[in-house]
Formats: sequence, structure tokens, C-alpha cells
Amino acid sequence: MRVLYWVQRFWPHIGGVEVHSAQFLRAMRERGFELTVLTSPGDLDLPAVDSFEGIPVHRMRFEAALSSGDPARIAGVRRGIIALRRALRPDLVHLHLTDPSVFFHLITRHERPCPTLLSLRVMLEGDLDRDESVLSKSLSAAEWITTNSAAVLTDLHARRPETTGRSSVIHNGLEPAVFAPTPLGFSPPTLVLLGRLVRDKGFDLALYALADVTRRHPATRMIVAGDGPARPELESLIAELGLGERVELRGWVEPERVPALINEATLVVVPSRWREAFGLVALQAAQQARPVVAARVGGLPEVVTDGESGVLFEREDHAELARAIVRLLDDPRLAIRFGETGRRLAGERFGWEQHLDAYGALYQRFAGERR
Amino acid sequence: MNPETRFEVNEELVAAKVMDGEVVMINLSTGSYYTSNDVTGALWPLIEQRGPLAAMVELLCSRYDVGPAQAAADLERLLRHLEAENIIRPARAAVSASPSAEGGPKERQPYRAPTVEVFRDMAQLLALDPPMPDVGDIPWRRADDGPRE
Repeated sequence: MRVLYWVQRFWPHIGGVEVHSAQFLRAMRERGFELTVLTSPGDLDLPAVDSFEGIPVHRMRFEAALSSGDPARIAGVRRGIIALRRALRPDLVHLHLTDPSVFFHLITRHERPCPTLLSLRVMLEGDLDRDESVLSKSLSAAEWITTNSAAVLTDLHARRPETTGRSSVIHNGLEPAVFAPTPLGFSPPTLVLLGRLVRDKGFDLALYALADVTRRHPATRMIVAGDGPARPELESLIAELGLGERVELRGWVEPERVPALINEATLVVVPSRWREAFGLVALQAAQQARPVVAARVGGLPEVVTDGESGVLFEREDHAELARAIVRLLDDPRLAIRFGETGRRLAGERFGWEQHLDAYGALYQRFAGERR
Repeated sequence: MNPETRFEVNEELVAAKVMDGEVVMINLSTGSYYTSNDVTGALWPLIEQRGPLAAMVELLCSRYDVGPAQAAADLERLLRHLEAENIIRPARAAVSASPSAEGGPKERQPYRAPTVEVFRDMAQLLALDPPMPDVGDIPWRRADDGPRE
């Protein structure tokens, strides 16, 4: 069964998407699927035809062609994809939104037509109201759509009701952690936040909350891992709130270091303003047996079970966030229990094998029908 | 429209290219992208040359298995669509000679009505790059451009 796995970025780019794709493809190949990757080189100088651990990789400059405003470049990329489809004769195309290169799928799908599986890992933004948008056409053209949370699925059904009946949730899954969880430490209490430093992540809210928390737990400190455009504002706020001795802006952390970083946490805070589609940080925290305090937005309530594996607070309410943190720091046994429950639930609900089984079943269903 | 009706490509706003028998067009003022089927691809050189409707009908009837009435009706629908999208406009300059269609294959091909498909949100989609902020939100360094926004 031949699957054309179409993704905007892939190895050797390093990021959450890229790492997931590499792990996913490796595992699906072991399950007997014959996979070919179609991706973009991004800004790197990479060969057009390559191999990742024996999996063929084809790279085409999708975004450059689309951004150029040059129809000749677009037509050139289309020609390349048509040639690939003729050579590969895929039984299934697996696409991901909101990758603009889906445009090229839409204009070449008549060549060796086959079922399309479309995966959504974001709350859909963009033009869904007009049938003539790439997003709408992509959704219409897909035989099946997966979302990584019920929140995304609900949003999809509300905005495009015709997708009901050909869509389902496949939660993100994580491979078993390499690092075993360490016991929760309370001396000092340590709050960990991970993510890009952008306003939507709400890290400023966590700083306001920390100022409140330290009145009751003066030794509390905070580690913020990540970087981004909001860093100067966060630095100013840290100074303004007098938190300079308590907050460490650690910068970027390599993927393999993330579990060890989470092991430094007494609890992990996910204070997002925007509707996170899933909340992978919360799942990683649970995997390391860390209780999570998270905003009640998007898919986070699916990952963090309020009162069992963590505490949810209302978006933007840093006073409630502070109370939730204090509640857990006041009661270490409760925090430990939440962390352990989170770890158990992570294994039960978000296991890697379940993730693969669900995709494998869809691959079989749609590509298998064709064979 | 009558047999002498002519249009011209709105060249200030539109970039277009025929490749592999199909046209790719971009309306640079709206950011909308267009692709066509092969029948529109066959017509496009005539449109670019400000050919009259009669020449386009003749081309379709000589190359495809279609009669003149059907061809004229489909052409009018296509040209109205392209005009509404500001891809073409009524020809302003006089045309000294009527361009004729290049000779097509001897055997007439199966006919499909000439169409273009429009994609309106490409600029928005490109602005969403990089995608998938949820799974990309772990602070892993990208190999290409350093810190993510």
C-alpha cells in the first residue's frame, strides 16, 4: 500500500512537526506501509530527491513558487508533482492543514486520483466561509479528516457542517518517555513553562500569578523555556514585578532535553490565551508525572482533567491561576497524586501505539478500498 | 456577445502561463490564483491575441467533439467569469487582423466545457506559515531559521 505523506517541513528541519513525522513514518513503515514523503526544503539547500532511513523524500519549493506571483514557477511545481504521482501511483495521499502547498494537491489530484486523508492539528483560521478558498476546497476534497482534539473537531463541524460524518479525532500520541519521572520537588517550588514567547501563550499572566504566589510561597521560582518576539516585554514585566531573582528565561531547549527540563518542575503551567488545538506541553508534563495548571481553552481540557491530573483556570484570569498554583503547592500530596494520575491517563488516552493504530486503520480503510 | 466580441488580458493585474496545456493565472491585485482545464488552456492563446468569439468557437469545434451552439454558450460563460474576475476586459484597441487558432490534432478530442477554478485565500495561507503551532510549540530550534515566532 503506497502512501504519499505530504507535509510542509520534514527532516532535516527540527521541530515538533518534523520530529513527529519522522517517528510516525518510521513506525508506519514497520507496520508495512510503503511511504513516500513530499515536502518543501524551506530555506535550506537540500536535494530534490533524498532518503530518510530508506523512506524516499521528494522536496519541491512550494512556498517559493506560490509567493513569487510567477505562474510559470507554479506551473513548474505542478508539473513536478504530476510526474511524481505518475511514477508513485499512490493509494492514498495524507495531507496536513494549514499547509499552503495543499493548493498543489488540489490542482493535481486528477492525476492518478486516489483517496485523500487530511489531518488538522490547529484550530482552523482563515477563509472557510467561501467555497472558493483553498481551505474549503481541501476540506471538501478529503475523503476523511482527522483532528488532534475534540475541540478542533467541534470547531470544524460548526464551521463546515458537511464534514460531519467523514471526520474523527485522533489525539496526539507520545512515544514512551526516555527519562523516567523524578519525584516532585518542593524545595524550592518550581513552575515550568515551555513554548514560543508570543503574547498568545500568556506567559505574562503566569508572571502576574507568580507575584501573587510568592506572598504565600516566597521561595517559588519559575523557569521559562523558549524564545520569541515577546521576550523583551516579558523581561520588562519581570523587572517591573521585582521577579528578577525568581524567573529564569532559559531560552531554547533541545528536543531531547525537554523531559529532563520538565523533571525540574513541581508543576507545569500552560496559561495560553489562544485556543490551543491540543496542548502537547501539557501531555509531556503528564508523561513526566507533573501536575498541570492550564487555561480552559481549546483542546487543553482534553489533556488536563480538571481535579484529577491538574487544575484548569479561566482564560486570562491570573488571579485564578495563582489560586490554582497555591492550592497545589499548599498540598504536596495532592500535587503528587495529580501528577501520577496524569501519567496514568497519558498512557491510557494518548499512547503512541493507539495513535498509530488509529491512523493505520484509516490508511487500510481508504487505501485498502482502492486495492 | 456576438461573433466579433473580443477581450484582452488585463495585463496590469494578471500574470498567466500555459504549461502542459493548462493555464495558471494570478490576479496580482486580489491575490487570487486560478487554474484551468485543458480546453481553457487551448483557448488561452486566442484570448491573449484578442481573438474574436467566432475564432474561439471555430477552435473548439475543430479540436473537440462539440457543436457551435454548445461551444458558444460555454465560451460566453467562461469569458463572463474571467471578466468578472478582472482577468480579461473588453478589448480596447482595434485589432488589424483576426488571429486564427493553431491547427489542432486531426482527430477531434472528447469535449469538456472550458473552466477555470479559483483559489482566493492563498495570501492568507502563506501568512500562516509556519503551520501547526500546536505541535510546533515546544521550543525546539528550527534548523533553517533559528527561533520560531
